[in-house]
Amino acid sequence: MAQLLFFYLAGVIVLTAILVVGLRNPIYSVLSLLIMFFHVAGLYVSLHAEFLAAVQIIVYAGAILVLYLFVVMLLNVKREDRYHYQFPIGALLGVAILTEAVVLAIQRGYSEDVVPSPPTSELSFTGNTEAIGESLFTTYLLPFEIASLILLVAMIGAIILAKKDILTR
Amino acid sequence: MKFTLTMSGADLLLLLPEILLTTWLCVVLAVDFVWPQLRKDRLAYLSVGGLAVVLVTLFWFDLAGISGTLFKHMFVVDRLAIFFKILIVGTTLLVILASMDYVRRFRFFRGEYYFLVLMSALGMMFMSSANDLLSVFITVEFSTFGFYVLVAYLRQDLASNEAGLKFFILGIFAAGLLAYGISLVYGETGKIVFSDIASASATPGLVIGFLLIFAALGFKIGAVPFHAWIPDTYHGAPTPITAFLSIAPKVAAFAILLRMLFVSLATFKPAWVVLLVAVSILSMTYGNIVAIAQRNIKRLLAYSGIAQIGNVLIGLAAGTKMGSDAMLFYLLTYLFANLGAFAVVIAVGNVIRSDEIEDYSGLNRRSPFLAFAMLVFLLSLAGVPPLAGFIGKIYIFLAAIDEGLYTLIVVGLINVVIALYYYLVIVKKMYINEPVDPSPLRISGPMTAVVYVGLAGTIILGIYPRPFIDWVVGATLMFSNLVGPTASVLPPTVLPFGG
Amino acid sequence: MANEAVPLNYIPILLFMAIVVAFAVISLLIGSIARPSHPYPAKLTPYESGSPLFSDARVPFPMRYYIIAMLFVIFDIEFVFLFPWAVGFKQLGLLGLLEMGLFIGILLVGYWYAWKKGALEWE
Repeated sequence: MAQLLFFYLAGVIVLTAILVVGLRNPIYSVLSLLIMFFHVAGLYVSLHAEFLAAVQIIVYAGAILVLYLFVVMLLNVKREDRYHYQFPIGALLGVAILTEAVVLAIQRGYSEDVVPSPPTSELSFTGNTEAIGESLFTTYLLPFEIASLILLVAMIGAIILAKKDILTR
Repeated sequence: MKFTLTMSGADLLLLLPEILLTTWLCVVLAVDFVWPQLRKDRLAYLSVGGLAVVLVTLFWFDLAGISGTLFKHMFVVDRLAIFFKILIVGTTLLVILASMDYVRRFRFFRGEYYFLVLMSALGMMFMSSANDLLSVFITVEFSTFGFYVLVAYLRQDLASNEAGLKFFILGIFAAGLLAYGISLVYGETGKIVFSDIASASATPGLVIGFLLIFAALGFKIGAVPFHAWIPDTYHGAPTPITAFLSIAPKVAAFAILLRMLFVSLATFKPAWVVLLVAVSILSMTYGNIVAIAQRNIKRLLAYSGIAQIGNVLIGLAAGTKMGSDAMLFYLLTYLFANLGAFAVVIAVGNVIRSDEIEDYSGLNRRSPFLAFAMLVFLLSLAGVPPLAGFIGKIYIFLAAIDEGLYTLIVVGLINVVIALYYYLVIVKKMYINEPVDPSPLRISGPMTAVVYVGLAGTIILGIYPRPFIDWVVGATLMFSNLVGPTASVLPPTVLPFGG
Repeated sequence: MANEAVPLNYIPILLFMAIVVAFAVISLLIGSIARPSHPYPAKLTPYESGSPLFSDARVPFPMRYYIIAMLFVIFDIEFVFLFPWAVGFKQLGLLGLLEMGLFIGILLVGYWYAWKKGALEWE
């Protein structure tokens, strides 16, 4: 059952991801991206990462997708403006990397013992979100604070690049 | 669930340079938008003042031997990290001084320019202290974000926009590779701290993961198979940003590469040496050969930068304590010579508004000082005695000889000759050709200061390298256990000039 | 609960989603079956009254939408970080408050900047 669920979610993710780059109408690409985000969220749920699933929906499906839509509408991309010359090279590289991944999977042989230790038993008593909060504000405090600096740079960078009409007095 | 984070004053002290810089850049930003009528060069001096304080703090750290780790070894302060931070902060300081005239070309957001430069510097300082895969990812992205904006800062200029777009697309591609590689390594080992990964066995996932991480870091340093963004980005970006980009992010990425290769992957040395030798040979040869055909000085310096990175990789490929010493020393010489050369390009470009090599004809008549400075910097980049680049190259070749990497040395020596050729072509233009417009060039005070610092560094490192060699040797003491000869001091035969 | 291979407690949510999708599909299906379909060119024009189109409906959006969306994403991410902090607020204590204060403080600088630069204004 768990395997079945995984293969359904993973299959849809791969399919919609291909559609995102393959579809000719950018709006359809964005919509298939939406389906992909929801299935990724489903994958997180099946891994008991509920918080990540919620984040996936709120941030990716909620905010980032809106940004994508704005960009698509901003650029007003017509169907013809696509760059498909790189397709053969891309296919070649894709096949090479896929072969690599398959070789990897075969060598690995799906042995169970290499799976990293499952989430600590602590998790079953307290919630998922709490556990994330605990490690985010202790062990991973520095990356967390750096993240706020990254957001600051992103905010100011976006204003600098997008705001055309402000004159420096 | 217990909350187990104990931070004492001593722990916060380790973060002092970063905290200072963070506070300072917020101040710079706030000053800019609260008093918009403030002259922007005041803002530059404000930034320089802050950086000087950070620099002093870092030197104090180094002298007082302050070291330690924070957040379960995710953030490390040791002499190596401090060395890289000093290099980064020093570069940033000089870049800001060199930007002051150039900033007048921007029509908008002149104040934010300094903020973004400081922000990138902060990111790279965190990079030098990153000791685990998560920090690597987040700090690499942090330091690159500012550059995405800075490269495209000349908004009315199409070349700058193109440069920004190319840099951004390839940059996020590299970020994707980095994230994927990190996830594979984490999936295989379940660990993220470098020293914990050292005990891992070479599973295929780990190998592919690390290859992806190296590809991403290869983008950052601009080594050959991953160099595609360099020429156009360097060409289109504002020249001070090109100078910054050609030194600081590469230096910071080398800090990560050093820790990753020498700490996490020390046991796999034979595997990565082969890889690094190949990348080094490709970078040197490709960079130097393509540089010959360049007509634009920024593109030429871009390609020569690729070649110089190839040289630095020789030290990394040696994979010994001496190799890392030589690498650090080489980065120091590269900093002064490359930054100096770019400073001359900025100074000339501010007046003649052109970066074509043809326009450097007769520079000696127009400004003997700039021509002489350029001569020194180019000769140092080429590795001519008695300048810094010569000692750097000798040091790095010696490290490779000790490891028996003779192919690398032969290729390296051939490349020295090729590089000398195209550097001398510029020198010939500057000294022998007649200028089209013989009017003298005016250089501003801060610009002259930057050129003088470059000259001083290049010449002092060349004639009296001993204290600097002691410094780099001290900075890499943590690698003393590495296989290979423990060359704690450079043999006296290498130092014909006052050593 | 947390150790099951398949998270069964999410089945109600799955049911909800199935109902949502089914509702949309069935409504459209019933409509297309029940309604008469006699298209002819004049009927298919955007305005059946016959007034001609002035221009394409697809005009490029102004840049300010993008800025607003970008700021929205940034503060959305801030909110995501606030959530685990709020859940563990009691355990995190004063230090946690300081950490979050620093995080929000840095972002507030950016907010202040955006405000001052008029990035939040529509004009």
